[in-house]
Amino acid sequence: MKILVIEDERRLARLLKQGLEENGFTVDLAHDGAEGRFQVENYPYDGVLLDLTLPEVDGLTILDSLRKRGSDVPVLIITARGEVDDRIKGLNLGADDYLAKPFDLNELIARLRALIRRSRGKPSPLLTVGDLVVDTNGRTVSRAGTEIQLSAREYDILAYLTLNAGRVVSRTELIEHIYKTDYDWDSNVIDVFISYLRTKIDKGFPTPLIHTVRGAGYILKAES
Amino acid sequence: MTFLPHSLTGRLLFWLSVGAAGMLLVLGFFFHGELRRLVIASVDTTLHSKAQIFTGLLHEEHGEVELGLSEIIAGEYVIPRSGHYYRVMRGKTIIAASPSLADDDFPFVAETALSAVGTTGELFFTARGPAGEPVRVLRYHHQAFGDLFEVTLAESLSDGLVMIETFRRFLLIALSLGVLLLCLASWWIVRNSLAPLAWFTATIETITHKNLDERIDTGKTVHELAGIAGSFNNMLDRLSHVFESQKRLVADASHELKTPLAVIRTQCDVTLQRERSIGEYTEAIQFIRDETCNVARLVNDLLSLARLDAGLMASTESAPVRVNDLIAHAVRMTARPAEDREVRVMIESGDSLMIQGSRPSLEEALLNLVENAIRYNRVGGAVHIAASSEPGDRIAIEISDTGCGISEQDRERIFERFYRAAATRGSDGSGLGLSIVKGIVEAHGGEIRVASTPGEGSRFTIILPAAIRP
Repeated sequence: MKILVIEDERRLARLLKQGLEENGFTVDLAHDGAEGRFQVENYPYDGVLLDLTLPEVDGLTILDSLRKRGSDVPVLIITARGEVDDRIKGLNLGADDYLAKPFDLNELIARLRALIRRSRGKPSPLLTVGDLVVDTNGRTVSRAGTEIQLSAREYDILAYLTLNAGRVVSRTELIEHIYKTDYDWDSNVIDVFISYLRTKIDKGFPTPLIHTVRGAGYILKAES
Repeated sequence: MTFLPHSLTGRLLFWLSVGAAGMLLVLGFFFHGELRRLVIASVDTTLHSKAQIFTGLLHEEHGEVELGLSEIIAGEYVIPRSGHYYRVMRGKTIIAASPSLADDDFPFVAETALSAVGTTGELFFTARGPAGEPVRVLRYHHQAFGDLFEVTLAESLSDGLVMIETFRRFLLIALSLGVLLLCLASWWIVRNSLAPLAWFTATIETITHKNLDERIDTGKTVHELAGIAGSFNNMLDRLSHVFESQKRLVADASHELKTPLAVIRTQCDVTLQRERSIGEYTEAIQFIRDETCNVARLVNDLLSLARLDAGLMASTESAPVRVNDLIAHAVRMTARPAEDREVRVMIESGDSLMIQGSRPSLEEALLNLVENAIRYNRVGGAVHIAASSEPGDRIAIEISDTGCGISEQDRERIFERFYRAAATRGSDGSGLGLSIVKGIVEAHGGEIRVASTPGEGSRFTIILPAAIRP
């Protein structure tokens, strides 16, 4: 899951990045409104943490222009401006949630995960495809009741495919949602991780879940 | 006028009633007097005509002078005490007297000083008649038949006096009723005239801190109150301006306080979310310590501002302060950062310069300026502090630096609370330092100026009153 943090207080931004990364998120930082708006409008993110008081372009303006462009990326506002008026304004402009500073990091992460799941139409933290279960809270995976050990990257790819189960996901999309924007990527890396995943998930089971769609990408589904 | 009621209505009513009653009384007296005059004048006219007739009726017969009274004229003089009397005397002898006098002669002596002597020798006066009734008397001397006759005619004033008395009673009742009616009318008028005042009060009472931007509609009120309404609206403007800036300050302060708290909180949460090495823990604690220092400095700055706002810069603290001491204090306190940034600090100040003021505040102000001059200077730059006396018993302290300077648009706003010039954003300043300096300088009756050439440096000048020499 790739998150954009738009926060001008650099120390807080750095801490958020560390905290989120340690919880399996991929994080891009923007330190002012103009930079933040450019990034959110030009790169795919699974969620945005948005501060309201920003130099150059303020948070509400970014949110407004984002929603006017038709983007439905989940936006969680984090701000020291805690007045009810500000909350209402933010939510009315299309924010999905609101947290006042100082906040609890665990609450922030829980809310962010819930926002991302709901934006994919999956409110439960347990994602299932056939007999495969992905617990997005514990970052654990099991198939037919047996727990499967995955590396962080393998989990990220599987979790993304599960969130988008039944839909073809391209290699580029996977890279964009899993690696930082400035990552110098090579789509072969995805193929390598998919082959690891196939060994761990599908091997020994009668119905494979991971399917290759030639020239398009991968799809996770229960029936062939 | 302590006996007057405190209410405007009461006062207006009192004066209106007193005025109306006084006017009615004067009018009453005037009409009463005029009526009496008219009654007497009409009796006098009657007496005068009768005197003409009487004179004509005097005739001589057999060497005796007689009064030949015709039946018609005699009629009213026949009935005793009818109120019509006459007496004609020749020398000391009465030659004729009206039967109405009966047996009494009476002196027909004037009760009051004789009021008028006619040109014809007629004398009118008021006296008491035989029945004790007031009478109007005409006495005159007639020269005829080689002798002098004194004719005295009297007419009762009773009828006229009854009329006057009736009129007096009528006046009394009419006056009382008039005063009462006037009181009621004035009460009504006063109440209605003061109605806009009640409306005004009601409108003012609806204005609280929640709707401070509401105003009294000056077009809706009467002309006399429009002035007050205008002044009141101006006062509301000033109040709401202060209120707004206080609200903004609180909002800004809460934002500024919550941000470092969020940093500290998040640092704790991140550190605690997994096991870490001793080095990582140490780093985290040091980070939290530094951030706590920032919060403490911010809180101190906010308290300084609050004290300035509340006017708590006690004038009792005011004493002569040596400028050199202030400069030495600021330089001593900034020695570390100056050394770190390799900034040279030069001082140029006369030894005898003294400022009148509160030493801790003045120290804080100067320290702030010197700190800024060092913090926003270039590495290896210079800070120049110069103090000199100015005309008008004032002392100027200049702090110049060789930093990046302040752009023109920033220069207008750097004294605003929480404003940070673009170049200083991201530094750990609170954005309050210059507001505090300005507050302190102004509380001392001084002023602060800033001049700057972007790229070359800035110069802050504070001008303060010199110490009062004993």
